[in-house]
Amino acid sequence: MRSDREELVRRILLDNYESYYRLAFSYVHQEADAMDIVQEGAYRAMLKADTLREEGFAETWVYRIMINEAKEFLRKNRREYETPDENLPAAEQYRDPDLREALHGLPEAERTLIILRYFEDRQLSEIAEILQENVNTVKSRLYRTLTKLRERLSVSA
Amino acid sequence: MRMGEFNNMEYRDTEERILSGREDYRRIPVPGEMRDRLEAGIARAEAEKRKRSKMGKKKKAGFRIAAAVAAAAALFVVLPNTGADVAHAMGSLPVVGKLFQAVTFRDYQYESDRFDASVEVPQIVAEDAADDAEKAETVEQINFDIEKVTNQLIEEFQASADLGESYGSLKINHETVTDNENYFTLKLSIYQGAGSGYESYKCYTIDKKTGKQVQVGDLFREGSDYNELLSENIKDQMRAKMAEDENNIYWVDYSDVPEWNWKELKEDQNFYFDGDGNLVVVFDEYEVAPGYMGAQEFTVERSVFEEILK
Repeated sequence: MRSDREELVRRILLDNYESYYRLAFSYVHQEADAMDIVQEGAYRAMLKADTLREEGFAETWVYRIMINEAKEFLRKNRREYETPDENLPAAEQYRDPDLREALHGLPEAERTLIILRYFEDRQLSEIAEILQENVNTVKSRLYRTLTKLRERLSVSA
Repeated sequence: MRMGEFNNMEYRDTEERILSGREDYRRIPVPGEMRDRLEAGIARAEAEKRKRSKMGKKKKAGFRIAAAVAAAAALFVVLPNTGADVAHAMGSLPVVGKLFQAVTFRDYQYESDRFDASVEVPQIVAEDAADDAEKAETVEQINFDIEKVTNQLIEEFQASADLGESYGSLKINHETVTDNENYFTLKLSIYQGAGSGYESYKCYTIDKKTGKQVQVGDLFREGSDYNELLSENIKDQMRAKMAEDENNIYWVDYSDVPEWNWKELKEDQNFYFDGDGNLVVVFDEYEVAPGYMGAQEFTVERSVFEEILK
């Protein structure tokens, strides 16, 4: 028998796994590794579902688990990923190659912020919950990242 | 589409430029296998939880009847010669101080293309159990628990092997990790593999003076803060290991997901005493660290807790 929390987490996983996969992919740029991350994250989320304090936080909580899983994966395999791969895989095809370059050049945390905000359409308050930061911190970090991107994009324009 | 976190026009262009990549990002193909993998992750968590709740619950009521049934059933189990003979001979063995001994009672082996099992189920035999009701009951209860836990695992393994889907592996072995003048501890190691494996343990400790099974809390004086003392010592060891090598991760001071942090010893925490009288605390995989760290043991020096021992 699943508890309510477990059922909720399971549904969130099934509804959003494609987003988790793409986010994981943005960390590792590899299908197999991205799938490992999402599978492990799903396992972890289900295992810990009953520790979730409020159902309202479930969605951002699962995101957080997935991001932590991706970060942990990079730490664990850091030698493999130490030198950034100059050749982006074909899966990441942006019609604007400068944007692709600029995003790829960002540190993971900043890229995650951009992905969540602009590609996944998440509210600042949700991002703050996912990252366990307050909204103002998230906002100023987003501001800094935008400044950085603007500079890079204007150089290449 | 929502736009403009910032009213500042300066960032409008940059935001628009980023948003122009949104469709491209969303077109990153998700492999068809991903959904199966996700469900496999979910299923693994659920299987583990089921197992945990089964292992965690000790039903006192009905124990005697169940034990009697188990004992009767045991008569029909074909024993490897170690088990029955040793068990039978124990009473007459003049082994001073060896009040308890673990013998392999059931040997279960299985091998096919994708399934393999190697299981040695122990039973504890007591030297003079016939004269000591307390000791006999303790041993009976532990043996019953071992049998219940292992039978369950074997049944589950056998069922999935019969079904023949995917693959699996089950390994159970035992070791007498403590046998000094005060305590006897039998440690059961369980490895279940299906996709990725899961290691867990069960330590059964008997106080030789009382003949009773003891839990970690029973070792220390009433009212002592043993749990905080031991837990803090272990957390310091975790911190030291994390400082040593950044690949070491324990769920301590883990600010990303504070609710994952390990807090303190469970009432039925697995433990044993090593040869020098230090306390070794045994953690299952995932109990205090991410899965890739495996199962963990921490040794707390005797000097740390000596004063509050009973």
